[in-house]
Amino acid sequence: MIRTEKGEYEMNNKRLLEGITVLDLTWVMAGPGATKLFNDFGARVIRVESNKTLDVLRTGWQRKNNKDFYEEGGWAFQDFNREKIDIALNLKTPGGREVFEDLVRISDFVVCNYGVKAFRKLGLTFEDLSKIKEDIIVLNASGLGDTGPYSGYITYAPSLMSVTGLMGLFGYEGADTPEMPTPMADYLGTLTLANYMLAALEYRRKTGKGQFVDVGQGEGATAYIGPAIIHAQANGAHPGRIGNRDWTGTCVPHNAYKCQGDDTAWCAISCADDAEWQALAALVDPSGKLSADERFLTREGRLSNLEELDACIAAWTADKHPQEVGDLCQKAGVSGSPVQTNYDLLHNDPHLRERKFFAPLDLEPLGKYPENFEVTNIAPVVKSAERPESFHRAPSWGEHTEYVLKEILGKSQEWIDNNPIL
Amino acid sequence: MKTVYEGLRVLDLANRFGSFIGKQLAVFGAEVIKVEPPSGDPERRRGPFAGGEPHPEKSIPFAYANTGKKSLTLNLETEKGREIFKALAQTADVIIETFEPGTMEGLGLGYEDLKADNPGLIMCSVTPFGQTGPHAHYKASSDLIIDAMGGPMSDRGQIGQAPLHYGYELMPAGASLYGLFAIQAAYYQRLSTNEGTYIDLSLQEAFATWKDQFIGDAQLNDAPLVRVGGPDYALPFLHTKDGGLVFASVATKWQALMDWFSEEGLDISVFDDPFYQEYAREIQTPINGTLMSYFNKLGEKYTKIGFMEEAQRRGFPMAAVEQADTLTENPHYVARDYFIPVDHPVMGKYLYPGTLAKMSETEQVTGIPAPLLGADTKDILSSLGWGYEDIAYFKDNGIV
Repeated sequence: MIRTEKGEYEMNNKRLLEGITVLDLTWVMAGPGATKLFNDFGARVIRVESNKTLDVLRTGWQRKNNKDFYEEGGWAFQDFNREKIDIALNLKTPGGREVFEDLVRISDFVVCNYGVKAFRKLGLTFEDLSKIKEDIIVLNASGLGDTGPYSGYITYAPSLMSVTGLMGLFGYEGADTPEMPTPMADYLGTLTLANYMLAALEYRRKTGKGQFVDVGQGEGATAYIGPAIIHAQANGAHPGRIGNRDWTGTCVPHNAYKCQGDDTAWCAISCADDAEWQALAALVDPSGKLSADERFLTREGRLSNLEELDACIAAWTADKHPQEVGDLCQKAGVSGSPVQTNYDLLHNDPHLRERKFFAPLDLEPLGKYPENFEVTNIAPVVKSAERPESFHRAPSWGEHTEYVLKEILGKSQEWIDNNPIL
Repeated sequence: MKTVYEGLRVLDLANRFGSFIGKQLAVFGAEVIKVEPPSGDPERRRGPFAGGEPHPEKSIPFAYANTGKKSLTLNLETEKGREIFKALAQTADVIIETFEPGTMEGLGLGYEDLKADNPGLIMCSVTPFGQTGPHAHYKASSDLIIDAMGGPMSDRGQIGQAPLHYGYELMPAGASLYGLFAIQAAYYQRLSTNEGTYIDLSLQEAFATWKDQFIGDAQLNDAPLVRVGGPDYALPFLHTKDGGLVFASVATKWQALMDWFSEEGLDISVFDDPFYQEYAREIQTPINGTLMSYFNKLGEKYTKIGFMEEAQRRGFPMAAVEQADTLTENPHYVARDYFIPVDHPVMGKYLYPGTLAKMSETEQVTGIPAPLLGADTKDILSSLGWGYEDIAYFKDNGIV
C-alpha cells in the first residue's frame, strides 16, 4: 500500500521481487522498460524526475488536447511508468543531493540511462555512490558503453540500430538502403539491463559486493546477430537485406501475402518442410495440380522458383480476409496467420484476451484517458491466470515527493521547509 | 566465488526460441546441460554451415546459441530415458524447454511431475503462443508467424509492398530474455521460500510488448497504424564514398547543418524557402528528398566511419550503418574488446559477439564453444551413479 494525498492504493500484485528497492533515474524507453519489469514483479521503484529536462515520453505521443505534461504525460509514459513512486528533485541543489543520497542508502540499485558525460557530471558513478552505500549496484545503460572512442556519441533508436549492425540486415531484398525497423536496440537494452540487475543482485548476496554494470545498449543488440557475423567470417558471406526470406533457407515459402482489403490486410505463411508445403498446396489448389508441380516438390526447387511460388500463393490469398487465411492454414496444419496490427492485437485476438495480456490502467484520479485504457502485461509471465486485473496509472510529476520525504526517509516538516530540493 | 550462478544446474531442452536463455546462464557461470535426442538436436541440421556443407557440428546458428553448454544425449521416447531424465531433474535448479504445450506432461515429465521430487525446481517453457488460450497449439514453423501475430511486423516496410519481417531470428532470441528475467526473479524468491516456479513465456506476447508505445495509439485514435511511403518519401540513409551508408538525422540542429553544408562548399540557397523554416522546427529525421540529396553530396567526401565521426563531432546523432561483415573491425568494438575468439574443435575459430554488458566485479564466462553431440553423456551419467556397463547398455539400446 502506498499513501498519497490523493488516497490509498495497492501498489503491486506480484511478489517475486518483493523487498527490492530500485532508485530509478532513467527516462524515455530502455531504462523505464526495465524498471517497469521490476515493478510488475513486485519491487518498489522510486522514480526520480528532474525539473530541468522533462521525460520525452511525458511530452510525446499525447492524448489529443492534453497540455499538462506534468500531470498526465503521453500514453507510452503511462505504460512504461505505471505504478512507480515519483519524486521530483534536482541533483545539483544541496537539498536535492542530500535526499538523493538518503535514497541511495535505502536502495539496492541506482539505474540510469544517461550519456556517459552526464552520468559522470551528475556524480552517479560507482566510485561516487559506493562512498554513500558500499554495496550499491549502479547500472548505466548508455548508447555505446562507458569506454571506447564512441562512448560519448549521441545516439537514439535508429542511430543505435545502425551502428550495431541490426539496421543493415533489415529491408527489401536488393534495395540499396534499409527500411526503418522496430527500435530493437532499445527493447533489447531493456532486457539486458533488467537481467544484469538481477545477476548483480545475486552476486552481491553471495559476496557482499556491489558493483558497476556498464550496459552499452549497442553491444547488447549486436549479440543477437552473432550467427550472421560468424557466417561472414566462416563463409565470406555479406549478410544483408533479404526481405522476408528465411535466412537459414529452411522455410520456403516464407513471406507475407496481400489479402482482400486496404494496406493493413496481409497474411504470413511459412512452410518448414515438404509435408507442410504439400498441405498448403492442397489448400491453394484442391485440383492437385500444384501439389504435383515438379518445380515446387523439393525445398531446393521452391527456392529456385521463389517468384512463381509466391505468385501462386498470393493469387490464392488475394480474395480472402487475413483471418480467413490464418484459419484455413492452421486447420490444415500449415503455419499461416494474419499480419496483426496494433489495432488487431487489442480488438481481434481472443487468445491474448484470454491470457489477460492487456490490463486496464486504473486512472484515478486523472480520469482523462478513455475508460478502460489498457496497457500490455508481459510480466508476470508466471502463470497467466495470476496476472493482475489492472495496474495503477503512472505518477504525475513529483506526485509522491512528500510521501518519499516523510514516510520513506522520515524527514520532518521543518526539514522540508528549510531545504529546497529543486 | 567469481561468477553469479556457479553451482546452479540447468537442463536445456530448448530450440532456437529458448536457447539464448541457457547461453546467458552459462555466461553467468551456471552449469548448462543441453539434453539432446541421440540423433542430435534438430537445430544442428539448420544452416548456414561453416564451409557450406551440412554437418551436425558446423551449424552456425547452433554453434552460436549454445556456447558454454554441455551436451547429454537422451532418448525421452524410452522409459529408461525418462527415468534417467527424472533422476537428472532431481539434481537440477532450472529446466528450459520449448516443446509444443502438453508434450512434457505427455511424457510424464511435466512441471508437477518433476516438482514432486524437487520442490525448488524452476521450469520455463518458451513457445510461440504460450501454454494456455485458444491459440496455444497454433503452428509457427518460424518466427515470421510470431512476428505477424505479435504485431511488430504490421507497420514495417512501405505502403503497397509486403510488411517486413525482422529476419535473422534475432527477435525470438531477444524475446527469450524475458524468460531469463522470470527465471532469475523466481530464483530470488526461492532463496526465501524454497519454492520453485513454473514460467510460461509466450513469444507472441513478448513481441507484442515491442508494440507497447502504439497500443495507446490504437486506443486513442481508434485506428491501426499505417505504413509510410508515397512519392515524397525518402529513407534517411545517405551513401558514402566507400559504398557505405550512414543513418542521417538532423535532430533539431538545423542551423548547425546549414553551417556544415556551407563549410563543405554546398550552395544552400534552396533552403531559404519558407517551407524549411517550418520543417527545421518539426523534424527528427530527414524524410525529404531535397535534403537527402544534400546529404548524399556530403557523403561523396567521406567514408561511412569518417562521416559518422564528423557528424558526431558536430553534435548530430548520426551513425554508420554497420554490416555483419564489417562489424568485427569497428574501432569502438575493437577498443572495448567486444568480440571474443571462440575455437570450436570441428567448426574452427571465429570471433563471436561478447557479453551483453560489462560487470566491474563479476567474472562472466565466455569463449567456450558449443558442445559436440553427447560430449558429456558419460560424465553426467557417472555422476548420477550409473556405471560403465549401464552406460554401455544405454548406448546399445538407443537410450543415450
